[in-house]
Amino acid sequence: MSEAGSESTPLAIDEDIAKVTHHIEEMGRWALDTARQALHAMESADPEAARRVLERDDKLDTFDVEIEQEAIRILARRQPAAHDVRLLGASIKLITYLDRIGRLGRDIAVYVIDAPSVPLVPPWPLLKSMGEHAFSMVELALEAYVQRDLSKASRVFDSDDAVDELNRQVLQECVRVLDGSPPEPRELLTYVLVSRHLERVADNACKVAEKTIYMETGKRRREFLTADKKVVL
Amino acid sequence: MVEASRDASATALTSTDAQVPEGPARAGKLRTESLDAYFGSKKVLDGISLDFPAHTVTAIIGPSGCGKSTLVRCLNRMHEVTPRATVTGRVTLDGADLYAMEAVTVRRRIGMVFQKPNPFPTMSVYDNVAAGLKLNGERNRHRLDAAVIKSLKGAALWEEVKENIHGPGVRLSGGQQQRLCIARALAVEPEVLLMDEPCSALDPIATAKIEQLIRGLREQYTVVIVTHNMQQAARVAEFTAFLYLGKLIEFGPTDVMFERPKEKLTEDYITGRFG
Repeated sequence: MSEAGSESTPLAIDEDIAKVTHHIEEMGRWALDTARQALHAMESADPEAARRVLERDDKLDTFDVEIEQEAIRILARRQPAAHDVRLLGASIKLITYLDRIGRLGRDIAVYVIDAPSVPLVPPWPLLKSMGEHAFSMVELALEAYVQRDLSKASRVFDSDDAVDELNRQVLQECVRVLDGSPPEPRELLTYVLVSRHLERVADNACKVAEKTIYMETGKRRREFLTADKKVVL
Repeated sequence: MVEASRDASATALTSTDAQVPEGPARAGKLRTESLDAYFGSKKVLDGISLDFPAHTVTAIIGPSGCGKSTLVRCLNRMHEVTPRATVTGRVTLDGADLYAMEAVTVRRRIGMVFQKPNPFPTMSVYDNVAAGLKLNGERNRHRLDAAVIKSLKGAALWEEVKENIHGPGVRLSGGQQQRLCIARALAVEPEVLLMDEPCSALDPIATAKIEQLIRGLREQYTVVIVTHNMQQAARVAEFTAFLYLGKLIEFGPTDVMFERPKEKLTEDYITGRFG
């Protein structure tokens, strides 16, 4: 009988999973860059840059379809169990979260095209900071997934409160400016929408981190955070 | 001669790291306590303590030579049929010590289906099913007829053989022969059904039929199935036990075992990363 745990040639499923992981990382970077470029287009009031953001849509769709097909093919052919099946199940969910991040960026680009001369009125610095926080969360969540790093996954949640607080501040600031009957209230309404979009980008980063935790431990976020409260990650 | 000694002080799970099932405990219909089994001086099962809950299907998985078949053969005292084979520890059925009962009684209450379909070659379908009842002294034709029909229906074979019930059993297809063997086991109305790799000689269609049958059998019987096919365990069993080198490594609800096993050995085995 063969001994467990000895060195051996990688299994076919290991190669398959490495490919899925790599493609999800690529999709994540693409979605994150889409959102980043959209906010940058907003900052520079550049409708051309915003149109280029829209052109990124097709590739996001392709990632979505191809990774899902790849995961289903592995499920059908390799009949995975334990960590492997958790990873593939998580991957099918992850592409939805990453697709949403890209589409939230796309929506921001559409606002820029609709109202290209967005002035940098008072709430903007808050909005920009919110974007930086949200994008860092996505970055960290992707690293956690690729490196299977539970410490990084946990740290993603730490920033979520900060983003929620910034969202609240953006709304407060917009209301305050609107109370003064500004000549162009539409721009402020755009800020409210963009703020909501960035908050959802952060939420999706948390979802990516949650799935990474499930993939690595089999535990849901609450169960993991409760069980591992005393563990130094 | 077989020696079946019993250790009254034995406690559950003393010599393994096995995990108990999650959720509310179910009454164990069949139970092993610190079960050791030997071929001569070679120990092939080491301290197996397991509860097989009533009206459930429990799968026993593990690599070749891990003791799966020996374990089920200890459950109806078939192990002792082998020369120099011995058992220590306890096996109980509804709390009663199996090794204090008549072996024939044990095998009537705990039926067994083997890897290769083995209908009696010279007998008809009817006689194959009726054989066990006749051995137990049943001679009443009406009762025999009723029992044969009930057993063939229970084994999901009746519709396929009712037109030729007096034809030879060996003329049936492999999958039908295996269901005939299941009908034969059901005819004596056992409480537990042991199945030692019952689908390993069957094609996927026949396998699917047997698996569907096993899922239905749990309504009336407690089923223990040995299988090399982990997907089969995942499909049919509520509980799964993983054995390695004669020890129980992990036992628990099948969905937990296959989604998030607690032991690394279990994970390595079910993901094909052994060796």
